[in-house]
Formats: sequence, structure tokens, C-alpha cells
Amino acid sequence: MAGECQCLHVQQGFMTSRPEPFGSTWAGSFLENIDQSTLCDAQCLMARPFPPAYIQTMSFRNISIILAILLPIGIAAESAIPKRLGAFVEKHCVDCHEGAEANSGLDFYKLGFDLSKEETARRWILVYDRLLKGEMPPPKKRRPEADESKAILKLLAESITESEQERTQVVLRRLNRREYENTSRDLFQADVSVKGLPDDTSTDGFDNVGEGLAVSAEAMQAYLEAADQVLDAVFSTPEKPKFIRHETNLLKQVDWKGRPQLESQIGKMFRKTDDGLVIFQSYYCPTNLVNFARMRAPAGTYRGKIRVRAIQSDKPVTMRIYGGDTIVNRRECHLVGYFDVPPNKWSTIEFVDRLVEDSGTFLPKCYGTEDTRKDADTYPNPGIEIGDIVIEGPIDEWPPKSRALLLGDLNLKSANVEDAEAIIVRLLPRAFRRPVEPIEAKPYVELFSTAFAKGRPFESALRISLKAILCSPEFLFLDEPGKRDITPEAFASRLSYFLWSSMPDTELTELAAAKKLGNPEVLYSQVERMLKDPRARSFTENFTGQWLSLRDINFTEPDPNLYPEFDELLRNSMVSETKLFFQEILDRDFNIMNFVDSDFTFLNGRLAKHYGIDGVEGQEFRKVTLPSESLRGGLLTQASILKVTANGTYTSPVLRGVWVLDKIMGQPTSPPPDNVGSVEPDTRGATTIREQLAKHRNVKSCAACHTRIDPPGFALESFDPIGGLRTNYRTMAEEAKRPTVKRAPFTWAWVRYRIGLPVDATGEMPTGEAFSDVRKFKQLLSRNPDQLTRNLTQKLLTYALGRKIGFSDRPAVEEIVRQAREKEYGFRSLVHVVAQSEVFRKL
Amino acid sequence: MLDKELSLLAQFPPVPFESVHNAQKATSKISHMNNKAKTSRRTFLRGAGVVVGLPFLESLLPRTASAAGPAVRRRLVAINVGLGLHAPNIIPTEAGKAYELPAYLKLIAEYQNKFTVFSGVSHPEVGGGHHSYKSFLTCAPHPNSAGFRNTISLDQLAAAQLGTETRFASLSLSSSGPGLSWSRSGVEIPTLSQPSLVFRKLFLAGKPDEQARQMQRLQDGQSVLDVVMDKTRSMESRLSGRDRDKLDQYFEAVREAERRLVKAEAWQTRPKPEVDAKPPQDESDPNKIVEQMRQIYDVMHLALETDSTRFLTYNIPGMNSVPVIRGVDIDYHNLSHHGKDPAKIEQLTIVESAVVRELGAFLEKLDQSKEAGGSLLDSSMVLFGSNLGNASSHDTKNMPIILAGGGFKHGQHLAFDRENNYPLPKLYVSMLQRLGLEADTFATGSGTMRGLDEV
Repeated sequence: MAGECQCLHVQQGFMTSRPEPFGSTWAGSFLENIDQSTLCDAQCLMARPFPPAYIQTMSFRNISIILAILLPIGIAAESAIPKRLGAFVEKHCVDCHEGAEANSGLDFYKLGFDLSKEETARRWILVYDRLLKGEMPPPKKRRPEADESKAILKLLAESITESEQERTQVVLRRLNRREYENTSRDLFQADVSVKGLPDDTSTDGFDNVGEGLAVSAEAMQAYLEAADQVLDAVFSTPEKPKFIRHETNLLKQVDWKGRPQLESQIGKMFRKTDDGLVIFQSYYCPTNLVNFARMRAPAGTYRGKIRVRAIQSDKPVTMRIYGGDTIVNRRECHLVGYFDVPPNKWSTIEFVDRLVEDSGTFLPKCYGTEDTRKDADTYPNPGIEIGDIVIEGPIDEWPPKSRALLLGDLNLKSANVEDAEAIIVRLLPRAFRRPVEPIEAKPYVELFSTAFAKGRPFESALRISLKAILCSPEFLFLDEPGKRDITPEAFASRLSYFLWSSMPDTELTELAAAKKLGNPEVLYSQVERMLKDPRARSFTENFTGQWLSLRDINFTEPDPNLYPEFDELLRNSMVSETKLFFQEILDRDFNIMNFVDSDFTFLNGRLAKHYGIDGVEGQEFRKVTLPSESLRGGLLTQASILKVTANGTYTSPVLRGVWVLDKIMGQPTSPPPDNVGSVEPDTRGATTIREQLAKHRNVKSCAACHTRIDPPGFALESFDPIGGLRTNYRTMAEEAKRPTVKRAPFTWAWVRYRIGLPVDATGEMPTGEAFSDVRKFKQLLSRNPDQLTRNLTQKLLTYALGRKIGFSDRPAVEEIVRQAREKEYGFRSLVHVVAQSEVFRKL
Repeated sequence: MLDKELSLLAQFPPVPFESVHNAQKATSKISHMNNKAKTSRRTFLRGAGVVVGLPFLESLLPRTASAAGPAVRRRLVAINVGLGLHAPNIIPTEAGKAYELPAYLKLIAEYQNKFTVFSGVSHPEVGGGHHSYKSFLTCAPHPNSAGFRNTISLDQLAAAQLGTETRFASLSLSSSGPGLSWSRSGVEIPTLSQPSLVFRKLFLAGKPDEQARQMQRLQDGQSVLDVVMDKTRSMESRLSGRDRDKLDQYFEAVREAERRLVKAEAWQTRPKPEVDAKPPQDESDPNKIVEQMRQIYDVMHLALETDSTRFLTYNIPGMNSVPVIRGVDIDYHNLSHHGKDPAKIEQLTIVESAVVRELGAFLEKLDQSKEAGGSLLDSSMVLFGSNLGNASSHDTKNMPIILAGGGFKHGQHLAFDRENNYPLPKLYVSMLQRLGLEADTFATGSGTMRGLDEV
């Protein structure tokens, strides 16, 4: 049902999540491009809901008759259309929808009736929906009789449903990368992080849909490697890594010859005190803990304590710490965190961080301060005094608990085949997530015994067996056998992969074995328990990452000339806001209309300042009640959403419009025909995007879709590509007026942009209602809770089942919507309704 | 960084990890050649270890290649520039042989008679803006659609049949992130982005104990996959329909992975070719894209010269940051969306000129590397272009495409209809045929490219 967009890039965010194409995260969505606005989708048939009243009248009795009277029309050879439908189309449709000039690019003669083709079926569903709503044939034309329409609708519904049966079945799902990592972590209780598995293809917006999860020889080789990584973590190093306790101070840092490292900068970049160094630097700041780096600390988890106080400030100053190869920046390097440093009084920053490679270190520096390089002793602006520093670790348990869990108190020197067999037999039911016959362990035990007989040590030989288990199809695939419903074990897995993106735990497995998960109360309390478990973070992470395109946050880098205030903290804060917001609505069972509009959100100081909201100090997030005059509230006005729906330079109402239609309103747009050319964006002219669009909307074939696509985008024009509120566009045109602000907040970058043309965020819905700004737009949107619920239900079901949700699922979706309505549209309730639904336990 | 290393391991049978110490030794061993390497960009090969064939695999050669006399080793290199190439700078105004060189082609004017430039070509039904890079070598329609499934890429199709003779059937390289090569089941082939890693993989041998460990891993891997294959078959027997197809695909993947382990084991006992080039030091600044490209092209050249592989792809996706090139202070991706702003086009031209210059240097090396029957350029088809015809508008029509070398009659601009594009997949059919494969179709294309003749 999701429109496949050729150039309306909204879908792209859902395609794949990839590593670093452009230095940062390749998340799949170039949501830019003004020409999207001009590339219009001529066929503007929207997927519409299927009213429950009609569904109940559906029957399958006539299928054989329909198939028996297939009659070919037109020239498209393989297409055959039921006679009655053919006659109807001839009578009512082909006047406008035929040939090269067909309205909306819909040519019935070319379309055919081969519903096994996804695209053909999709178009007939659109025909169905428009006919159902009485939008087609258009009012000016002769209307079909009510009976005639009804019969045709019925015929169409049956044909489409029939053809879909095959397509909407769950296809054997392979664990995706995230699920693989989580599952191996939970299977062994080991701290596993897996690298190198190929990207997973996303289908209908989610990367856990079985149909799209292919396997290749390369992937297979990657699984062999991944298994090694898992087992390395499980068994850990043979020797306990040396524990380091390193007490230091920035003053004590020395270079490789033992000379004081920072001496030359004292009085310039740094101020020396009795306790340490005062730093002012937010950018270039050579305060790497080089002494620690020289200790060649083994990879592992470290605890750090840094004595600090903010100076020359009455407010906290922010400090940030990076870890890893912060010195050369060639190997792994990551952000540890942002920390508030209270003024004047000493306090201690404590952090725990995992150095994933050997010989890493840490780099503390300021954030948001104005740097100096010459007069640190007299410099009057805020800075941070850094006193004593302690780094200690690795603090990971050794030997790790995973080792004991797997091997018990086995003496590896005397262990034999029976011991290996016992280990394998114990592991298999959990690895395969089902009861396992002892005989099934045989081939894995043989792998061990063959190697063991050749003189391989016990552990080394056992690893071969474990590797085979981790590469076995029964570990890698979610096998869901059953008759009408899937088996209780498969159901337990379906549930756990839905809420945890991981395997079921013991409690869930035992309930499945006792066949108790079919009991609604038991299931309810399990869903509650699971949602409260830390593993449920995977649900928030993966579902919002894909539903709301949050995985695309790094996809474009804002133009530093136009948006000099954009920085890492802002970007991270944007994502945190949306996740916390989602989590709150889930945790507190808030009405899902909060996704459209809410009177609260989650902010830290950085984001509050970005939004122009006062009174939020420090970088800790907290729930904030929005001022009544604020345009913010709901997802649409969150900076993360506004960023992923824009590129780094400009916003396109079309892209944002398509995003809102697909993600929120559940009315995805169709792809534009292949032959539609693109109009090249022209940023030289003194015209706004809106004016450029207006020209375009005057073209009749474009207007059909753009009357729907553009309005949500217009409403969001009040927000720039980084989610800042604006009344005017920013421009680099030299003739434009300079803003009063000379340097950007936080980054202190010189402001080079100028004030461009004013923003117009008014618009008119396709139904004719006008809105003056985004607040009014959100009100209009809020009037249709069922449709918003329907949309969210479809996304949830796709994610929960790992399969496409099609036309034939409409009755199931409607039933879920009905129950959600009874529960006053609570989001947590909706998750429960989905988990309890018939479709969730069906084969 | 580690990701990249592991994706390397994922793509090919793992090579032993040398310690830093060992890599340094390799450097010092050849340090006396450093000056030479600096003064001449040509790399000298030493010893007979260079051409290590596997005689027993000879029978697997395609007929055409083994027919008469010393067979020409046909090779294929494909390079894609993900952020487009500004059309007026690369597409000549005139068609045919007597065309005036536009700015970018002037940079490789020396080879005008050894390449063909195409215009008015594109992949049918491939839209999707940046996502179209996925279809650059596969021609699979609608790369950004919700149900998109990619198909096998040109290089992988060729390598599956012709890649048996070399240590590596193919290599997929990338400046960063994903590459251009896709498996038969539509899964992306993991890429390598660090020149040092490619070099290590191709030329550096591990210490004896590491080699022994590696051998053991390859053998363990085979035993593991044997069991997995049996398990897959037994699981398959109780499935039906699409589930069964899925598992069948899995079975094939396991079987192919095992074949590769067997091959890797055979190669493990043979020494790697020795080269006198210095192992490259990876650029620590990711914005130094020109230096990085040069290093990658260098290892590509070495890979071909030592016949370590004959199928190479290289994706240059661009970046969201400012490349370190004189005269450029706006990020590359932003520049590509120039919106006709002349200042941006000027900087974009600087960046893209640097990209084309590196291609030129690569062509030069291939041209200067002689082997029986001609130069490496004569035997290597070098496809260079972009999945975007107009990056500013994300237009995928009118892809800029150059084909150099590889045994075609070049020196012309093959101009097709810019309104109604000529299908580019036909070029791929021509290339497959030139490799000696009996192919009449590739993806959506059937028949060979009009106007492009073999030498």
C-alpha cells in the first residue's frame, strides 16, 4: 500500500540503513531536492480505508465464477479482466483513462488485470478506493447506478483479496543485523557487538520484513565471521586483562620524550592553576589524555572521574568527552557524553565508557564556549577548570558470566565428548527457540568430536560446534510452523522479536511450553512485563528509527553558511527528544493524537534554546510543558522530523508533504510516472519555493496530487531544515539584509547568511479548509483519529509480523482500530490490541 | 574503521591479520625502492610470483578465452561517481569522432582515442535519485521503491563465470560506505574502503603461525558449512512455498560460501605476488578525497597488474563535508545541488575535475602496463560514469558514461536522444560479450549497443 516513490524521496528513508557513505551514517534518505516539487505524480489515487461495514459483506463464493468469465480487453496480452468489470470500465472510465494522454497516467487498456503483479494490484486498489468514495467517475460525468457500483466493488475486492493471499503470507524471516546481535547477546548473556554483517533490505518501510531479507554467499561468510566475534565475547580472553588505575591531571601530560605536553599553551590557550588547567576551548583543544594512551589500555569498559568547576560563569558550562582514538582519529572514536559543570564549586564528572579497541584514550573539552588562543590568563569568558582525573578499568567481569553460563564449572583439561554434548544439548533449545530432540544435537557434537579426536583442545573444538549452531538456519531464521495459528513457541518468538528485537527469555519460553500465552490475561501481563524490560528499548529504537526516519538523521549535513548554529549536540538532542516523546506516550498510554499535537515535549538546554523556549538549563533532558503560544507540540514540529524531511540547504514542502501523508496520515502518494521529467531547481531567482511550486500546481496533471501533497508541507514551512522557527528564509544573496546577530549561538561561528524572503505557512486542505499556520493545520489533522490510528496500526503490524500488510488485511486492521477507539486511542493499549489480535497469532 | 575490516573479511575468505609490526617489516623491506616509487608512479613487479595461476582450474576457462594461443585476459573495472558529473563539462556538443572536448574530457584528452563518451543513455525505469547507485551496475528498476529487490551486478555476473582463475574473483571498493556490486540474490557485496587493507589482502603474507591459524579457520569453516547444508536440507523438507524458496536461497548461499572456502584454501598454500610498491598509509582525514582516490586507484592497478583479480568496482559516493581541495569551501553534496548558482558550479567543477584527473592517472597506469598482446588498458574495460544525469535535480536520465579500453573501437561520442534515452543495459551486454561470455541480455537490456564495435 505504501506508494513507491520514484522521486518523492520520502520512502527512501525506509529503504536501508547503511554505514557511512558520506563520512557519517548512511541512513538512506536524501530528503532534499526541490525538483521533487516539480516532478509530479500525475496519478493521484490515494489508498483509502476500507469501511468495516463493507468488509462484512465480502464473500468468496463467486471467485470461481469470476475466474470462469475472464475476458481479455485491450492489447495488453497477459491481462484479462472479468467481463462485468470490463464492461463497467468501458462504460465509465476509458473516456478519460485511455491511451498516451490518459488522465493521471492511468490507461486501463495498458493496465490489464494481472493482479499477481504488485504494481497492477496497487493500481486496482486505488481504483477501488476512488470508486468506493464516489470520487470517480467525477461528478461531472455520468454516475454509475448504486447497485452497479456495489457489484463492481465486490468483484474487485474479491479478486484483489484472492490474488493477495499468497503475497501477504509471512515469508520465513531471517534475523536482521540488529536481531542477530541482540539474540546472540541474550543467548549467551555476553556483551556482544557484531560488525561486518551486510545491510538488510527494507520492505514496506521496515528491515525485518522477511520477503526482503535475502542471503548471499558473502553474507554467509560474514555469518562465519560474526559467529567468531560472538564466541570471542563469550569465551573472552584466556588471561585476565591487566587492571589499570590511572591518576592524572592535565598538567601532568607529557609527550613521548617526557616533556610537558601543554606547557607551550599555558597563558595562551590554557590557564594554569593550583589544581590543574582552565580550558576555554570548544573546538581545537589538545587535551587528550596522552599519558593514558601510552599505557596501551586493553579494549574494555572504563570508569572515569574528572574533578571540574566552571569559572567566570554564573551558569553551568557544558563539557564534552570523547573516547577512543581521539589523538590521531584514524581508528574508532566516539562521543562519551555531554556533562553540565556547575559554576565555582568543585564537582566530579563520572562516566563509564567502552573502549572498543586497544590503546584508546579520552579527550575532555568545553562545549559552547568562546575559544581563545592567546590570552588565557586574562580571558574573561566562561571556561572549565579541570582538576584531578582518574581512569580505571577494564571493569568488565572476568571471566565473563557468559563463559560460566556455557561451561559451568567444567574442568577444561579433563573435559570430554560427553561434556561437550551436554553443553550443546543444553544450548540448542534456546538457540533454536523451540524444544529440541537430543538426536538433533548429533551433527554438532560430531563436529566437536572430530576435531577433539585430532587433538584440538576442548574449547577450540567446542567453538566449531557453536559456530555451526550460530550459522544454522534454525538459529538464523524465525521458523513459524503451525496450522491456522503458529505454534506457541513460534508465538513467543514473534512476540519477543516484536517488543525486544530478540529471542524470548525463560519466562516467555516456559509460558509457551505450558501453552498459556493463548490466555489473554497472561498475554497482557507478559506484554506489560516485556515493555517494562530494558530490552524494550529496541522497540523504541527500531520502530521510531524506521517509522519516523530517525535513522536518517545524519544523512545530510546542514550548510554551515546557512545554519552556522548546527552542531553535534543539537543533532543528538533532536533524536533524543523524539525517542523520549515516543517512550512517554507508550509508557503512559497517552492518546496517540499526541503524535499529531501535544502540550508537552522533552527538552534539554540546547534544544530549548533552539526552540526559543526559556527556563531550561543544562543538557539533561526533562519533560517540559509547552507555552500556549508555541507552535511546537506533536511529532511534526520536532526538529528531528523537520531535519530528516529536509536537506541541508532548503526545505521542500513536497518532500515534507509526502512524508506526512505516508508516515502520519497513512495516505501514501503514488510514484510519478517514469516519463515525467524533472525541473531543475533554480536558487538564483528571487522566488520562494512556494512560488516555484505555484507555477507547477497550475499544471492540471500535477495539481491532482499536489493539492494533497503540498498543504502539510506548507504548514511546516515555518521551520527551517534544522527545525528552527523562521519568519524569513535565509539566503546567501549579497544584496539581502544582514541579520542583527553576528555570531551563531553555541558554535560562535560568524554569521554569513542574510535575511531572505518572508515565509508563508498558510494553506488549504484538499477539502477546502484553510489554515493560517501549523497549529491550525494540526487541529485539522486531529479531527480524524481513526485514520491516524489506522495508519499507525498498519505500521505496527508490518513491524510486528515482519510482513507486508495488504488489502486483504483491511478487516483485521479495522478491528484493531475499533478496539483502539474503545480504549480511547491509548498507544500502549494499541500495542496490546495488536499483540492480542487474531492476525498476530495467525500463520 | 573496524567495520570496514570486517566487511573485508565478510566478502572474502579471511586473510591472516598481520600485526602492525609485520606490516612495518614489509615496508622496510622495500624501503630502498621508495625513491623510485616516488619518482615514477609506475610500479615494478618482482619475481615470478606475480602471475600465480591455478593450472588445475584452467579447464574452467570459458571456451573463447582458452581457444587459440595465449588468451587475452579480459578485465572489467567500473567506477561510479555518486554525486553526478556536471553535464556541460563532460558531454560533448557534437556527436561522432570529431567532437570538441568539454572541460572534463580535456583532462583525459591523451586517451581520446581509447575511450568512448556516451550521452542520451540511461537505465530504463530507474529513478530514485541517490538510490539509483544501487542500479548503476545492475539496471534493476525502481531502486527506491518499497519492494525493491536488487539483482546481480555486471561484475558479479562476469566474475561468477570468469573469476575462478584469480586469487580473488572480484573486489568491490568504495571511498566510503556501500559499493556497486550485488550478488545474484540481490545482497550487497561488502566493500573495502581502506587502501592499506586492500594492499594487505592482495600482497602481504602473514607470519607462519597466523597462516596456520588461517588455514585452520578455512577448514573449520568448511566443516561448519557442511553441517549447515545438511541442516538446511532437512529443514527445507518440512517447508513449502515461499518459505522453501527462501531456504533454498540460503542453501545456495551456503554452498557457494563453501566453494569459496575451498578455493581460498587452495590459494592459501601459494605465495601472494610480491610488489615493490610501498603499502599505502590510509588518509586519516576523510576529507582528503583526492589522495584517497589516488591510493585506491593505485591498489586497483596493482590488483590488475598482478592478476590478483580481473573484476573491480569502485564507488565514489561523495560526502557531506568539504573536500580538501584548493578553492573549495562548500561541502561536496551541497555543491552538487547547485541550483544553477554559478559560484557553486565553479567549485563543483573544481571537485569533479579532481575526480576526473585521478581517473586519467589510472588510465595512464593501465596504458603503460604492458603484458603479452598489449597494455592493461587494452584488456581492461574501464566504465566510468554516474548514476545521476543531473545531480542538482536528482535526475537519473542522461547518465554521463565513459568507456575506456577493453578491446573496443573508441574515439567517438555516441550521442543518443536526450529526451528519449537509449537503454544503457545494452552497453553491458556488449561488455559481457567482449569478455567472451555468451550473453544476449542483461537485466532490462537485450542486444548490444548500437555504434560500439569490438576491435
